[in-house]
Amino acid sequence: MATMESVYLRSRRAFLLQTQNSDGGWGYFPGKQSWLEPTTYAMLALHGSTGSEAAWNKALDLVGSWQTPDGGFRPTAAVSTPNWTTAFGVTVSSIGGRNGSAQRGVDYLLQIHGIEGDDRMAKIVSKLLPQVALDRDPSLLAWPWQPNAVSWIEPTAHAVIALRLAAAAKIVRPTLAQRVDLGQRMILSLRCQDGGWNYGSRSALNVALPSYSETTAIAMLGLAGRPESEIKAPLDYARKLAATPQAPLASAWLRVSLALHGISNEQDPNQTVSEYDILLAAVEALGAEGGNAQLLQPGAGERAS
Amino acid sequence: MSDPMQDPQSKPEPPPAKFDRRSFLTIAGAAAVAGWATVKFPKPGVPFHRSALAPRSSVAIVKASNYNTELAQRILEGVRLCGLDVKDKKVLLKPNLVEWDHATCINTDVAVVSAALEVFHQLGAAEVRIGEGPGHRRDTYDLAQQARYRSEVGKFDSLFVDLNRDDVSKIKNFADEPEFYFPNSALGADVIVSLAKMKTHHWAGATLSMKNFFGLVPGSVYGWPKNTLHHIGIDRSIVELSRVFRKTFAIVDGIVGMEGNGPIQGTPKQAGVLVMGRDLRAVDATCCRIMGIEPAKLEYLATSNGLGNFYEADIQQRGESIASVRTNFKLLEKFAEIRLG
Repeated sequence: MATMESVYLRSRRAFLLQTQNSDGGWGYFPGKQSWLEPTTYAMLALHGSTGSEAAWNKALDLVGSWQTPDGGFRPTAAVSTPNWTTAFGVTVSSIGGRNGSAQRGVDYLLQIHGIEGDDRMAKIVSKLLPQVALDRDPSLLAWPWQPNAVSWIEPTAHAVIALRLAAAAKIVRPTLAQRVDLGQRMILSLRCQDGGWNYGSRSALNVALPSYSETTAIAMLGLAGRPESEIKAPLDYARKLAATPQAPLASAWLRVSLALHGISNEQDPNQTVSEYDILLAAVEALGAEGGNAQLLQPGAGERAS
Repeated sequence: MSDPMQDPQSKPEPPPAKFDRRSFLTIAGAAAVAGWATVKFPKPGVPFHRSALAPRSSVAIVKASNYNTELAQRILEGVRLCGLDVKDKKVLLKPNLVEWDHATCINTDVAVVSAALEVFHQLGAAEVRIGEGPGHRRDTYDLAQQARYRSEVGKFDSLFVDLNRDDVSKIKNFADEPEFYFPNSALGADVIVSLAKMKTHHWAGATLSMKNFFGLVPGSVYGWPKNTLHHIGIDRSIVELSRVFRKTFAIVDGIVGMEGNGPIQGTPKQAGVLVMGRDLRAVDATCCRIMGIEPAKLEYLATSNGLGNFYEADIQQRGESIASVRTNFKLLEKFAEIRLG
């Protein structure tokens, strides 16, 4: 629990409490449909803070209600099928001690991987398109945004975080550690020439593509726990990005990422809370000094439950 | 006689089947992984559907040499030439806001967005909003900042809806998907104005008013990039999106377009035109002719039967003639075959 809550952090948490929907979730914007992504970040930001317990539990109930029979989580009530946001369902279920729900979510995540890792498809691709120099190592099973699609950086990072938190909550599955390792290696393998990450293509038509600050930050979240030798260079790059002017969302995610890796990064204490973007406010609160970024560290789920 | 632009029941003929679905997914997925896609040119002599009984579509070509010109006046002129009525209607302006690179011109210029906003208010629209869901970037507001939308469009934040994170509703039967989700702001608009950029495209040949609707697909459901569309197939997705969103108007920003390795890494190309019309297929075919591209060689245009007119004879050209503004856009070598003779 944060005992020295800054004005910066307090204002964001207050905003989140004010903007919680009556169903218990949060929309991307005030008054809009509840979605799993902003709900998860709001829950992470509020976790353990004074006066947030009822809001947190109500949100957790809502998330649980979005779990489908196959263990996945719907991204919002209006969408009937699970997708990349299943990782968020596993994350908050693990942190919230809903281990049955988390286990089913883990099983869902473990049976999903990008189609580039499907042996039969890989053979067809190499037969029909021998000239295509695949950018991916198909052995590095990772996660797509949607089932039956190619894997990408961000959904892989979220899935890795979720699985590590589930493991810390004592959920045991034989392939869990291996999938975490493969996912992290996939992330490492797709680093752009400039040192960061974009959505997951290093080049197009032999022209190098630039990285994005926000995706670099999310990739670094997924790489927590890797040996220092593997992440020093990208971490230095993320630190360099954080020291230069960034868009608010990128800046907020970079702060969470650096905090997770034990690097503090001062925020502007006078920066007012965004009144239009709940996800932004939640990520800013999560990465703030005294915030809950460490919740995403392995073992946090165990401590919380 | 039915107007193909107004009849939501009219259904396009399906694109020619080249692979079974499984193979198609495999190839498209591999292509996406490698940042590569097949270039499939329709075979010469393929008998395209000619909408002999359909009315001709009006497409306006208006000259504008730069972004300092009185663009609102030019756009108003084009809208009137095409007979669009937006009085008391909810209008959604959909610019092409993709990436930011100060060295080139990826996005619909902010001056065009501002001018369109002014025009549709002037024409009595009940509501005019701006909406976009970029395909790669999570932070739409940052992109809007970089592209100067936030600084130069008055009250931008209150007018703008991030279509990647909007509330969504389900529609049935999109391509082979039994259900698909779209932003409520797009589904609820009376008119969606595709404020596209005139650009070449390294996979589709060109990206114009129809391809611009990729930004109507919500990232919150389908991710960044919107890989689902690649799996369905880029050309087929363009067609399917145009089938779903029929109450439309197009304003293509060709004042400075992009040639070569578009839609992101190409180079600026001054064409000095705005191209407008209610029939997006006809607008795109006209843009192609201006760019020196044979529209029949672009698969999405060749296969979007029933979604508008395509042949020059079926398009009533208003304003400038194509010949007076034609300027060949440089094409990647693999697209040499689509050059208009």
